[in-house]
Amino acid sequence: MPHPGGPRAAASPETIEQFALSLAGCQRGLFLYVLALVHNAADAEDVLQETNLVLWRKLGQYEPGTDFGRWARQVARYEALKLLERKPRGERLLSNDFIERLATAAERGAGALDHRREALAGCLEKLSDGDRRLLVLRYEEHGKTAATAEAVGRSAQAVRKSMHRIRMALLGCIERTLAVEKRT
Amino acid sequence: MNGPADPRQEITALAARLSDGEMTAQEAGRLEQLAGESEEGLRYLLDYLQLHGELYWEHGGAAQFVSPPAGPPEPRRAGRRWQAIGRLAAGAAVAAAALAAVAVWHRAAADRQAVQQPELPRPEDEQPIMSQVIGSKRVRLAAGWRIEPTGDADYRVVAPDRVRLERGEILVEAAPPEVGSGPGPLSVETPAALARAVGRKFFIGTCLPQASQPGTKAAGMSGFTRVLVLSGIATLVNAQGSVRGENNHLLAAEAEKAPAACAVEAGSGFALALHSRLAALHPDENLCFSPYSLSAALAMVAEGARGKTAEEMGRVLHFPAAARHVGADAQLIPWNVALIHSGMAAIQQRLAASQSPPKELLDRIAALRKQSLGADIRRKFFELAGSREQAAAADRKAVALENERNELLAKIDPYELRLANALWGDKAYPFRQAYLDTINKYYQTGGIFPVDFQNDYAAAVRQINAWVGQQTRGRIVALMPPATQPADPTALVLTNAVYFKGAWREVFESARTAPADFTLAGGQKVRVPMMNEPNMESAGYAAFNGDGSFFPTPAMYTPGKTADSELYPDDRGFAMLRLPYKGGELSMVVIVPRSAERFTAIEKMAASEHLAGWLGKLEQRETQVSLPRFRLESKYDMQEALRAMGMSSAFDPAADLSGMSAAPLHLGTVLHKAFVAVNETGTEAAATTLGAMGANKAGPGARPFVPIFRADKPFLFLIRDKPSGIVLFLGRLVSPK
Repeated sequence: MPHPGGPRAAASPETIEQFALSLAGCQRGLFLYVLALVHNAADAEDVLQETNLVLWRKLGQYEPGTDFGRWARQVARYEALKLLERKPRGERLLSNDFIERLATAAERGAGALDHRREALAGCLEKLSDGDRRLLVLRYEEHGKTAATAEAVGRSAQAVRKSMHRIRMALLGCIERTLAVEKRT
Repeated sequence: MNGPADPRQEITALAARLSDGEMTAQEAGRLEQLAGESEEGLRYLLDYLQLHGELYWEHGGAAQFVSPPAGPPEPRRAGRRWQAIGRLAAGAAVAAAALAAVAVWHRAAADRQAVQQPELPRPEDEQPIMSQVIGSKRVRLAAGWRIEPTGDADYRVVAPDRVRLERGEILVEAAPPEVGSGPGPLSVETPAALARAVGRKFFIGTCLPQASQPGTKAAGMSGFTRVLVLSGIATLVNAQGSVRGENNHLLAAEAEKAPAACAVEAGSGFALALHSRLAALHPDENLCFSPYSLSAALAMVAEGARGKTAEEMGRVLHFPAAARHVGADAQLIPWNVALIHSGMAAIQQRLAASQSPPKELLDRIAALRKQSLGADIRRKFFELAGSREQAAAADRKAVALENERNELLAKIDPYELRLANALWGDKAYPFRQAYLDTINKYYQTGGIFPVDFQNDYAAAVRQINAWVGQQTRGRIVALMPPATQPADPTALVLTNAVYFKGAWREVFESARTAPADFTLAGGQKVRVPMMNEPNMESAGYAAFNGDGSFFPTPAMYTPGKTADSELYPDDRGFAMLRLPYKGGELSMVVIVPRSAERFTAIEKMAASEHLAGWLGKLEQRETQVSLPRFRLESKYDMQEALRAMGMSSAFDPAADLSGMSAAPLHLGTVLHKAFVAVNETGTEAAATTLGAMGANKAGPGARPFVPIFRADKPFLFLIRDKPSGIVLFLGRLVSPK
């Protein structure tokens, strides 16, 4: 429940500091969680902003020491579902039930994100220079395969195929890395 | 044989369409079905979305999307920015975001933390290993050692105290010790020998331009390794023995006398000769056998052969001149088979090591991870403390550690290669202990076993088949049918089974597999399931003219202007393709003629010393590949072929296998079974074609030329271990079924 006079009025400086640290610290994980629900990165950015806004307004409800990430994900889930509801029916490709299942699974997997990120860091280094360049170009262009293809002088189909190969290589490498770490 | 498509492949492909906004309603339904039918499927989808999100966050600009601390955030789009791809350090973005917030609001908090700086652990400093940058490489060597390559030296540091030098020269130098003794010994492996250096300064060079290729030996050229001892002591070892040198001594070892090179040379010559013989014995049939494992199995027999029997075996097995035994007993023991055993063992050890990483490697990976995390913690701490230089230094350290860890992780990509070589003799005729000791020393996967052929043949067959099944983990069963009972209990049965399963480095998409015509040598056409891949990036490609000479395939072409004759050889020519398996060391090479009737001529040419030269022309480039899905399972009694090649005495009752047993033994049956399945499966690992994109200097309208390789006619194939050059499998597909 927000306190009268704005969220920061009732919070101590220490609480605000802790809240800000927690909010800043969970941005990446929150973005990944939202992306799992809305699938589109631009939509995920919007939902993340909305979520930040809501969380900021709810600062008064924040209790240091509690699981901030879980709370933030609950808010994000609600905001993501709101965004999906607003979309025209033709643009909502996946069923609500399936989105709910994804949300539950994403919540369960939230604790493993850091490990996977660490593994990904190593796997990116294993890519060839060419593949790394392609990856950067692809994400710099925000999913515009045609623009990436033009930049590298290849067909869009060839770029799509390369991206699939690179992603599969990264996913496989992450699994292997985690498996080796588990064994050791 | 086309199994169900890999759900992870399909889910990932569909998820990419979903995240790119290209998905259709039908595809969405398929994705829900695939991902929704199991927790695993759901996880695949989430794994992809996480990967996509991480990459987007890191490179798409979302990382800037951090709430401004002084008030509620305003909705906005993240700005676009280019950021050099680097490591996604664990929690790096989180730490950076936290740092931004703290810096604006409560800088004092960072200052308080800075006091803790001296308390941080420095686990990486406890290792007596030093990192050094040589050219573009960062290597980690035992502390005190330094290496300096000259020219185009091809080398890699395989362990802090071990360097592998494939070609060229390196200067090895130890720093003078401040106190006590200097660093421990440093070993330098070359294809010709192993050099072990203790002391100060050495110059080690190796020259092996041709002899490392199977089946070739340039006239008058012999690869060698030399060590010039400038200060210290060096020992140079190969199968011929060892030699020790001190200051100003020059040591040399000939490559052709290196055991692995001898085994490869022998194995390659034997492979091609046996292929020719089998081709003659089985015209118009598909062929598939493993020369590597058959060589190893027959070398076990050769160890116990004497006199004429041994002489014939050595010739048929293509033992090189370096394996000739000299001395008073050379007539009785004409070959130094230990040289071949030693080479075989080295190759087998390397292949086995690739499949099951040693504990030391896993330990090192785990240690590197801990050290890397330690460096990461230090970096984060210094970032929070505002000490940018120290943070950058810690980051560099973490990156270097991660690089090394990744290099090691790349070595543990698995494939499956199972050998089961054994010699079975009647228990009434025991083997000599010295013989058993020698075989056990070199062939860990082989066996020499007594069975009761005389009294219970069926039980002996069951025993043999059970052993083979066990050694191949059930992949090969019933190798020996009951009907193969030898008439003579003194006959030996040699069983030789191989199973190989490798996943392509780059997948053929199942959806592109379609029926297509395959033209037989006689011109008839049959339909086959043809796998198609329009952009195989990791392929190696080369084309040749009808006389076996190299046809230079252009890198660029101008559509409508470049003539077809400039792109491909004429109908008498042929093309060669290399498809790497995961792990990068094994690959399948396919040789297909431009016209089906030329197959036999090209097959004969391949068997006559041309093959090694052709392999050397393969160049990695994007290729459009069509290859039939096929599965070959072959089983041969090699006796007829081996006899025809000149190894007849070993099969005669008068055979001299007296080195094996005091009893008058002879070879009865040589059973060989091989299995190769080629289908779409296989994926991942990196390949590069983008490097060639900048080379577009062929004028306006010119485009990169992607050659088309269609194996739609009879073709030869071999599966080869690139580092050693050994041929694991050799075969031909002339009649797809």
